[in-house]
Amino acid sequence: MNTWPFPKHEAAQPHSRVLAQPGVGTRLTVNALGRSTGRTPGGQTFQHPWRPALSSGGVTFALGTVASLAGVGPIEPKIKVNGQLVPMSGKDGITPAELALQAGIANSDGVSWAALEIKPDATSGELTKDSTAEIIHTATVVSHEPNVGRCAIAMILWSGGNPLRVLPIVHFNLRYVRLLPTAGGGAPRHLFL
Amino acid sequence: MTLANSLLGDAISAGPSPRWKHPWFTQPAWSPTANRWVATIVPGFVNEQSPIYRATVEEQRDAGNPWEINPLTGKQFFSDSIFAQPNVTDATRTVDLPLYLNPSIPMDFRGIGFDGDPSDDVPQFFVNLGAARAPQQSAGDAFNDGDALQNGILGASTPPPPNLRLLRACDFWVHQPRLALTSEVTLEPGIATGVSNVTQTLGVASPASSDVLRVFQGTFTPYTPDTAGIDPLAGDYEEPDFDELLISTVYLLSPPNLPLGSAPDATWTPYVRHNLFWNLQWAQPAFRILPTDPGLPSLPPLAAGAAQLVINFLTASINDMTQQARNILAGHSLAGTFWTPTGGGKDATFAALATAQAVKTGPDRQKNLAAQIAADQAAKRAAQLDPDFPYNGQPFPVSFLNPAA
Repeated sequence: MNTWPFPKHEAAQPHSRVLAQPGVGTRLTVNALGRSTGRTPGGQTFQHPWRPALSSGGVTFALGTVASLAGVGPIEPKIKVNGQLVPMSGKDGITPAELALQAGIANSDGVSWAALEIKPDATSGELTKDSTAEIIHTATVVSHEPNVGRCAIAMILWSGGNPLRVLPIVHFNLRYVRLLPTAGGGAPRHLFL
Repeated sequence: MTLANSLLGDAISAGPSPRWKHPWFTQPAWSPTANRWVATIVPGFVNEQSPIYRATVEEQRDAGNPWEINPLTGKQFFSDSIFAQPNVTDATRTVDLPLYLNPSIPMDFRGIGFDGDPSDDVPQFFVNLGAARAPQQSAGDAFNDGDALQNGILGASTPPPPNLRLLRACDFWVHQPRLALTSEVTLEPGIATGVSNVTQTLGVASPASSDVLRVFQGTFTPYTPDTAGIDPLAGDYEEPDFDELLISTVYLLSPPNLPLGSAPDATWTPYVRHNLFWNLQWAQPAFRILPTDPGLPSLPPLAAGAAQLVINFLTASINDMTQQARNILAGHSLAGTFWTPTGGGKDATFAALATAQAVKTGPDRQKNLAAQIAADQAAKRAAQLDPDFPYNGQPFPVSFLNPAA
């Protein structure tokens, strides 16, 4: 029976930090070595643009694009790998480039972000073929440069100096627009639609 | 769930839920330790932040979460010396728990349906399952009186239908603090000209420093920025210093034939109606000066970080004064807007940013790569979300693109 918009929820135990919840990836193992209980973090997802995945030394992303309202077509952002900018889908377009993570960047709450940094054409505010679109690892997604816009792509949670979990923030390809200040001055605003 | 026997022993495993849990997905559960219904929310984002739920340590401990320790840092919450509060006990000590730490949120339900608030609509879905809408009350009927419910007065006056199932509801909403517009109007009769001189001073008020992006539970009352219902000449006016958006509503449906006014327990069945499915962006309009007619606006120097705008206008009619002041309030409102970044669209379809091409395998490596990327994008656009579901997003406010309008 279609129960939209009122899906009946599976019976679930209350959230507990000692016993994992059934039905969301609980694993109870009993063997000669003892007992262990574990669970996978979160449920399944789908292959969306910008989907992050933690790897050994960094984060990789599913291909995502950004375009401005009247600029050139979609731009594939780049990631700095070993000091060289490469497309986020990798040099060969198959193996995604890995964004290196440094533990020192995480803030005191154990949080950092992967953010898309945009530098549009200074005059028109549009993205051209020469515009910069780069994914960076940062402790703040607020840009203090007037012609640089940032959009958080994923949040990275840290524990003990190691990346623990990555949470997706953006699920769709992006459109970018720069709004110049009107009366009263101020800095340009960078919006991602 | 599978049970496997091996030389090393038995292993029981349960696969992860096959259903994708979108941002803001709300999961209710009965907590036997807290003896009440609690809920967890899959972390959603507003800009780059995930909201917090503000709780006391004692409340979370009762709900089965010993939140003295931050699992990310391994240290006590607020263990830094600048947060030292030696006289505060656990009963009153509050912690701000981000949604990505999965705090259990105790729910306070309101009654809807037969023994609830008649003004609260009962979805037809629950009527089909055995709930009933509140009967029409007559004048003087103590319908909403809690004592009346407890004493069975309602039941005596209006017999419940057979096999009635009671209904309760609890809302979750996201709360975004923001700057607020303030207005002060002074009215001075003009002696020489015979017309009134009105001075309206607009200001900007900041929210309290303790107010942060957070999640609330209870009964959500949406704020509608309608200045038509206020009289800006009668006194000072201040906008709310927050924007709010409904996340979801948890409904509890009782077993049949429970006494009216019963409190929910583990035997009730939870249902959830979601209102948010995607992460959000949020922005508020820049404070700007609108031209007024008649009168000339002037912008005095900023004082203590707050912008002030003084608008003088002359008018002969008190009605004109009121409407003029309302128009200025509406035109300068600092109410923000939430939207879902969907590439310019406003639903769950992937934005058409590229033209699909066939993947090429010729000698031109660059063209092959471009074609591969375009094909990947086309495949993503055509991909069906799992599951098929109306995951609608919040539309982008196009007024941001034309702030002078």
